[in-house]
Amino acid sequence: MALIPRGDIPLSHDPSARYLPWLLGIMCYFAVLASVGAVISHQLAARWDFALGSVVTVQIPAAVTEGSDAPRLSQAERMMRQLPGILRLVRVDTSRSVELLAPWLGAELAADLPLPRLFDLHFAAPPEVDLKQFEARLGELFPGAMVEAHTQWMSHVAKLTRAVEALGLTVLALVIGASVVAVIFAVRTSVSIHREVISILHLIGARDGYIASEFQAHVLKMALRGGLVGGFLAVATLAGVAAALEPEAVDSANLIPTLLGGLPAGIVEWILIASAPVLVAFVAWIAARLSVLGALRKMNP
Amino acid sequence: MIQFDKVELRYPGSPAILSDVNFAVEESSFQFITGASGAGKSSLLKLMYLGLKPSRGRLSLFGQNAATIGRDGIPALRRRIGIVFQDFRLIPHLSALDNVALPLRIAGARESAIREYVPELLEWVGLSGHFDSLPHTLSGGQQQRVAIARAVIGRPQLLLADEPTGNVDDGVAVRLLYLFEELHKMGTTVLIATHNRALVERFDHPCLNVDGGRVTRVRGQGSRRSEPRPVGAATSGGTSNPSKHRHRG
Repeated sequence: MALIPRGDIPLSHDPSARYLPWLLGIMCYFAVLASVGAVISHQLAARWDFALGSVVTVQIPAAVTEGSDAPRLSQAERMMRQLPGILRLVRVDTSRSVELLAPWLGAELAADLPLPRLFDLHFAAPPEVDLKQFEARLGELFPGAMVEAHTQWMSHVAKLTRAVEALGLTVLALVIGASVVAVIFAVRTSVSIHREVISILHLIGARDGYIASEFQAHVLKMALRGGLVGGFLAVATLAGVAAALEPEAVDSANLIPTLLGGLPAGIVEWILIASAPVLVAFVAWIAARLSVLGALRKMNP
Repeated sequence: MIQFDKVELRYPGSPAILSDVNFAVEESSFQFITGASGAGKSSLLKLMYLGLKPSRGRLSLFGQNAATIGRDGIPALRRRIGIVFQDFRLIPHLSALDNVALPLRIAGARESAIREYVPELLEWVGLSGHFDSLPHTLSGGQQQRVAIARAVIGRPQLLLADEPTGNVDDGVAVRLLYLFEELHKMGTTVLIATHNRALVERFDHPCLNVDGGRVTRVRGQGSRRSEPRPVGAATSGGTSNPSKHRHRG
């Protein structure tokens, strides 16, 4: 199957040869942005699911007097460390809690308040332990102790990021659909313009596939040309957005990590971006073939 | 090779263009088809290259019933046929060389073979100085020879020519017919449709006449001897050995 136009049909002079590369370039631009948006959302959702879904916060009411409940506190910490799957236990410093409350309550009031003791329990994976039961056991040592899994409030954020991801994929699908429609329209117009040449080719023994391959090669050439320009502009846009959000990112060549919220971006993301023009070109190539074959079947061979 | 058996051709709602057509074309034969303009000669040829299908009757091409040849089978059949159209039907944006190369490219021939055989054939038909010429820059006779070269480059078993001398003067017309005779000598079956009876009379080949939609045989094989003529007399320029063209591909 020809990938380079043979020139049997003078397609390069068609009106579509002027507008289709631009159109496909714009489509490719949006395809890259949409796919990058979908990837960012997906990675953020996965990261938050993992990072926050595997953290549990334990809240123990403040002691009546400083150090009066130290033995019980040690026992509670031992209970926490014995939980299955726990990686580490972080005791949140009281001064850190005061720091967090100060902007709302004022530094003095925050310092005077009897603040509860907070512990972050980090698990290798979302904990499978029955947290309600664990809370009840802690409650025997410290009445009013609370155990809170972050997954509860994280689910709302996760839903939002999944929605953004779905939106990105929807835009990508629409862009591909619009590209297909544009190619079909352009190809059918070209078939109509070159009806006479096609008829001659048929009469000297050309199969429909031979004629279709000429159109395919022409569309592929235009789609790659437009797609590369569109893809380049999309990357430039991403670089601009990254620079606006975090100027040092551009200098440090950490564009994608910045966009992915600090996650190190692998080769996969770059392959995805580079493949967008190729994907658009491939879809256009297939659409051209099916469209030409459909149009040729309506003509006498 | 071709067998017409009670063939009728008509468009829906119109009177028959051809009716009760019965004749056979033997392999390696040379036949003329004569008749007035509009008598149905072109329609008869169109039936033979499946540009049209019979409305009634049976048409057999290369042993296949035309009625059962589907769309996918037509290209393979047409590659066995070379067609010279009355209006040449050259592709205007392609050079003479590329027009002639088309059947080979369509058949998937190697470019090296195309570069070897196409110039050779163009020289044979006397167009050695016009390889890169576009059709509109060539005279009627030159375009006709490009069309003939395109029709024979793929070594067809059957050559159909529709009024091949209609756009050229008598001298060129006779030379073109000598060219067809050369092809016939190489084994190609040749059918030439023409309204020029005077020209037909100069050659000793069977002749069919189309009149009022009916086809009748007006002259059989050997009814008249053609005058002796030199090999390559058809060409105005090159006279390379035409037998070389028998083994290309």
